[in-house]
Amino acid sequence: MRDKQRYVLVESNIPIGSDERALSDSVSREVIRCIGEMNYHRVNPKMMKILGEKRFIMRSSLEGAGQLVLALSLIKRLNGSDIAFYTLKTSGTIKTLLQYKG
Amino acid sequence: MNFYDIAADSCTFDSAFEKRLGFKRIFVVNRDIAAVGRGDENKQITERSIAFGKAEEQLLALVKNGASAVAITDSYIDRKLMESIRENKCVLCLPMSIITASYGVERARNVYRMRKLFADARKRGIDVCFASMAKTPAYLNSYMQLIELAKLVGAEERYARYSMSEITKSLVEG
Repeated sequence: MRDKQRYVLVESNIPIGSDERALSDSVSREVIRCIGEMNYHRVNPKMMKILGEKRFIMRSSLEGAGQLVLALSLIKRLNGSDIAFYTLKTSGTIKTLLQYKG
Repeated sequence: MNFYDIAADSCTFDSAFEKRLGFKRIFVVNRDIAAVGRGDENKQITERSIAFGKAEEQLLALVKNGASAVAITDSYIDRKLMESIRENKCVLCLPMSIITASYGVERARNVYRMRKLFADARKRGIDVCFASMAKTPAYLNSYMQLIELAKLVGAEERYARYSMSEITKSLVEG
């Protein structure tokens, strides 16, 4: 049976670049640091898509979405630069977030 | 449900950003609500205000003189002050930037202290306001991040939502 997922639209306060793999690796590393290795598999975060300069979509398990949102609010440094992530919207489908006009 | 946040007076942002974060309004200290602290102990406070400070005696005097809320700055409040906050129907303001701005062991210590403080306040029936109190926009959070931070310090989601809508609004607007 497929697990239910939650998609989170995130905005950064600085440009994040277009390298999805590099961003995914560095965000994952910071998320592990915040929620711990034992919780990481429950959250199961995955970088889905970079949208423009400052926005991206991440996916997590339904029950781990809150932990992902929390971890993103605790991340203040990424690859040696000061950064802040704001979670703008969560949804059960990626389509809804792609249509978000905010 | 409309959500509200409170930021420090040095924090600047536009209304579009405020809306993107999911808040109806982010109040700013010294613009929307007064800040009282050292030097105000002997004055009668008549306007809506938040008391800031570390010295217990100073905060105690400010609460007795009519401050609407007390914002903790080091995650510690003694029993006497807590009792005075309850008697004067003051709001305890928990600045979430204490958690987001710290790191590692220090952050874990702050979460632990704030959890204890929140549990103690709620046991006494004190209203608790969760606010970012961000000094810069980097320490602001969206409403859902603020809810998760409130849950981190032991609040139930329902109370976190109530606090961010009703308590914060009535603290500033009366």
